[in-house]
Amino acid sequence: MRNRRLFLGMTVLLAMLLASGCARNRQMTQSEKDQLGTIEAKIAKAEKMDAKECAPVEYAYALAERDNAIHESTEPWNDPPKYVAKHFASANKAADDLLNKTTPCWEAKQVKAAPPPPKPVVVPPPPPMAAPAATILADPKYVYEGKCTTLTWSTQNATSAEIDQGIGSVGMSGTKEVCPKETMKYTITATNPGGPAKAAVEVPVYHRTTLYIQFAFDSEKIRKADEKELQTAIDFVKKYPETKIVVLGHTDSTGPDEYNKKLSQRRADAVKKYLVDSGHVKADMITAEGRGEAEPIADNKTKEGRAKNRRVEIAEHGK
Amino acid sequence: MKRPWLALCVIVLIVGLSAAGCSTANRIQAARSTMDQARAAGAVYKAPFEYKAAEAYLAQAVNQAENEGDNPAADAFAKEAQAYASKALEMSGGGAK
Repeated sequence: MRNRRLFLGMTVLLAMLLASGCARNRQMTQSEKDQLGTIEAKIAKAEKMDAKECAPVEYAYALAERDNAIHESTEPWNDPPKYVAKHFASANKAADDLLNKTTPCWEAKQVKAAPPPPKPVVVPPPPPMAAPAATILADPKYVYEGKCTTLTWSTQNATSAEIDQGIGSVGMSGTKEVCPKETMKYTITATNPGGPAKAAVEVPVYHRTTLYIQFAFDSEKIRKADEKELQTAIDFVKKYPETKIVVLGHTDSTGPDEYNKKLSQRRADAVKKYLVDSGHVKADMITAEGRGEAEPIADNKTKEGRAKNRRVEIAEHGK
Repeated sequence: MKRPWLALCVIVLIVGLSAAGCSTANRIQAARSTMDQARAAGAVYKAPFEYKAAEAYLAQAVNQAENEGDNPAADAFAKEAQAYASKALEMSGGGAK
């Protein structure tokens, strides 16, 4: 009988041992599954950020803590869940530590690995604009008072052009008639971003006076009656002592042209001689020139007109 | 010996339980030994993750064995520790030549 009891006791003991080994694992609650999911996500995120390299210690502990939490949550005797909760809390903290250490490390790596920012596109500066250039000239180069000349200019590489003496802004090239009263210097300023360029032309304004001397027919002899008129010439040369003077002889259209030219030359020479003899002008400062009938100032068809055309002009510059 | 079968049962039970405990202890000891080799080979610097993982799992195994009395769990953790320690040793250039 005693043996039976002992046998029964041993059987129960053996059954208990077997029962403990074969006991069903505990099932995780939904909350524990959610917590585990969160922990797994953190670890996975850290793995993507090279956790093994950035935080090897934290990574190792996070894995071990996670596995321990899984183990503890499936132990048959670990109920109520309060006991399991501390293991999940520990695993969650380990996952947080891992993520906190991995994230800045990863970001720093990204900055290092990032390709250098593209160099700013350097737009080469436009080639420096060629310096502007300008030319200006006058035709005729000089004028007698009351007469006009034409300015002609051109520019290169200019964006604007301007001529002084009241003319103002002008085209990049062009012409303009000017009638200066006194000798005038015209300056054109051509401009572009590279700077200005200037060119100038001086237009001398010469003075002249006209003498109406009543020469005898086919004669160049100056008569006493003409001396008053010649005083005008003397006054003129005295007014411009430093200027070369030219005496221009003119005739009307009566007679052959060649003849008139020679006659006008003889008369101009006579006036020149008169002026030199008067002592008011040096011989090398005065010239004489016969223009014949070529430059009439009045109608040769009338008596009055022919009288006006028969004249001698005294002018500056010897031209 | 009036009840030889009873004595036999007790002995078998004791031996069986002891064997289970010894097995776990041996596994833990093996993992620890491999870790020592790995550390000596410079695994702390050459394979920091593997070494630390071995260390962490070994700690879990010891905890399960000594505090929880859960030999199967301790075995499982010790196996993990052994695997990581072996990897650390390998990465550190140590181990059998």
